[in-house]
Amino acid sequence: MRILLIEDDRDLAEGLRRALEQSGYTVDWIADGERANAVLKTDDFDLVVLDLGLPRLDGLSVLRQLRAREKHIPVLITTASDSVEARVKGLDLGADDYLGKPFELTELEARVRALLRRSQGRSTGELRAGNLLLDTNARRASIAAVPLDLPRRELCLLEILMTRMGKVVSKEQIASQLFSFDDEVSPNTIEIYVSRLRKKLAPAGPGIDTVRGLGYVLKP
Amino acid sequence: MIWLLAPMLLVSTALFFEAYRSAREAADRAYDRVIAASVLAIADRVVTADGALDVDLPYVALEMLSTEDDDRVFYRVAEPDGALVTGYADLPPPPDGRLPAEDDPFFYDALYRGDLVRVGALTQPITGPGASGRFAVQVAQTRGQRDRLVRELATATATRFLVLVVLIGFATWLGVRFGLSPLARLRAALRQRSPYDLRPLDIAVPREVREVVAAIDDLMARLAKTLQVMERFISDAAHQLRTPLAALNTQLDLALRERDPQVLHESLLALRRSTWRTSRLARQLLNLARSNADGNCETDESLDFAVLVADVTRELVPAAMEKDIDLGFEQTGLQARVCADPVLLHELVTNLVDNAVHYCPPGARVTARVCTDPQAERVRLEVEDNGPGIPVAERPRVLERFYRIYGMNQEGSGLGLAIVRDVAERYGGTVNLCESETGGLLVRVDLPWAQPGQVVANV
Repeated sequence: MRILLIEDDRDLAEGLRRALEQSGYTVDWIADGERANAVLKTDDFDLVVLDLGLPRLDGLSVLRQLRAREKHIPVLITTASDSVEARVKGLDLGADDYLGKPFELTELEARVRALLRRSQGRSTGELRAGNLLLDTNARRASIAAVPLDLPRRELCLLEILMTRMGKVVSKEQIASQLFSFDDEVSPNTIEIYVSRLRKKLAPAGPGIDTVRGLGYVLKP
Repeated sequence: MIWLLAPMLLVSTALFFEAYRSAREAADRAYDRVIAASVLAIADRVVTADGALDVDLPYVALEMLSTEDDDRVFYRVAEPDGALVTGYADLPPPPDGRLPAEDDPFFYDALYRGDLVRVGALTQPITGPGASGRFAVQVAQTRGQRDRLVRELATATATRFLVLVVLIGFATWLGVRFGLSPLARLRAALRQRSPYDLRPLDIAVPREVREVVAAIDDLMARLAKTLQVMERFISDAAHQLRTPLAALNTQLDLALRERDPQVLHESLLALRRSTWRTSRLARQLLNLARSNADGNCETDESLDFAVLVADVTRELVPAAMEKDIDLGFEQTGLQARVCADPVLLHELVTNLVDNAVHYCPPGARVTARVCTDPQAERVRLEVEDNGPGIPVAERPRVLERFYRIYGMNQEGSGLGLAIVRDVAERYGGTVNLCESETGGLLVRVDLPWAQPGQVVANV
């Protein structure tokens, strides 16, 4: 799951980035509205955390342009303004949720999880594939109630495959969700992660098939 | 009301006594005329017979003195030597004891037989051969009728005064009540008003009160402006404090989750940096509020600006040395005396010099310069650097609150130069940003030059 964090306060952004990465998300941080707008045109994200008071281009304009491109990425607005008009305006422009500063980290995390769930059409944080269970809230996976020891990226890869179960997921899609701008990614890197995960799921769990030239698919 | 009625009663009492006195005089004049006629009638009948005086007392002379009140009448006719011719021998003489040698009757009051009497007296020369000296005629009448007349006159007057006082009192009460009713309406309007309603009063009042209402409206307008500034400030302050507080919250939550001591230590360092930033923002907000507070000049004092600038520069030397910046101080001209709050001036100078040190690259040169120009009566502070400068388009905006130049000031609150401007303007000064000769920034602050000990009114 790849999150774009748009926030101009460095201290806050660094804290949020660390927290979201600890939760297993891939986080890209951008501090100004114009760059955020440019990045949203070219890259795919699963969620946007958007501050409204941004330099160069304000958050509401970023949101307006994003929705004008008919992109349905969930957007969580965080802002220091507590006026009702600002909230209403943000939500009317197509924001999915609104969090006033200062907020509790746990609340932000819960709302991020809820937005991601909703965007995937789920109502709980649990994903199932046979006897494989992934709890996206607790960031835990288990096969037949036996916990799996998965590092962050592998857990994230499993989540990507499970949310698109039975469908082919391309290497590019995986790469864009698994890594931020700063990470060096080669096609080999994805293969390494997939083979590691495959080994950990075998033999009891579902298998990951390679579809040559297209990507991977998780069999139910 | 009491201040109106009390003097009125006092004047009425005085007027009453004056009226009583004049009533008494009028009564005396009226009845004295009758006594005079009686005295003259008796004197007419005094004849000299064989060297002796004789009088044929005309009864009508006494008859005309009879009254409804049964006043008693006494008379006495005497020889020049005082020997009684006829009448009451012991009728009292005038107060000075002698009857004057005048042809006109005169009058006096006396006590006779237990009664107050009015006496009319006349002396006339004895006519006839061989006669000399003046004989005397006295007629006395008790005061019954006179006093009754005086009483009647006085009672009538007193009644009139009383009615007058009551009428005036009532009229005054009505007038005051009617006249003050606009004030009562004004009072009611002011009482009913919400403390947040500072619109002008819309009340019809008489001309006398109109200026008071105008003054109240003026005060309301000024209050509304002050409140507006305060409300904007509070909302700005709340808005600006929320982001650093969110950062603090986040860092704290992260630190609480951390198990690795090394990472925990790093979290705490970040937390400390954020706390420092937040408290600096709070301090700047307070200084901004303070420089905006109208009228309070208790903390103002006359001070040597050059000394203050030198002190601030000295404080910032370690920070400058750390960045390898050549920080210097210069002074020219007369003693730079200004009258201001030292804390606010310190903040002004610190913000300027600290900004220069902060934004200049290592190896740059920063100069704080104080000069006085006694002709223009200005004290000038120049902070000059050879750093990146500020683009012309940005210069007016950096003086605005919370404005930050993108990409330059991640740490700043956007308040530093706003405080500089607010403090300068508080003391009637100006702030100008221009390009220095070396292409860097030159900030020029002009403050009014103050006489030693002079207290300058706030502008």
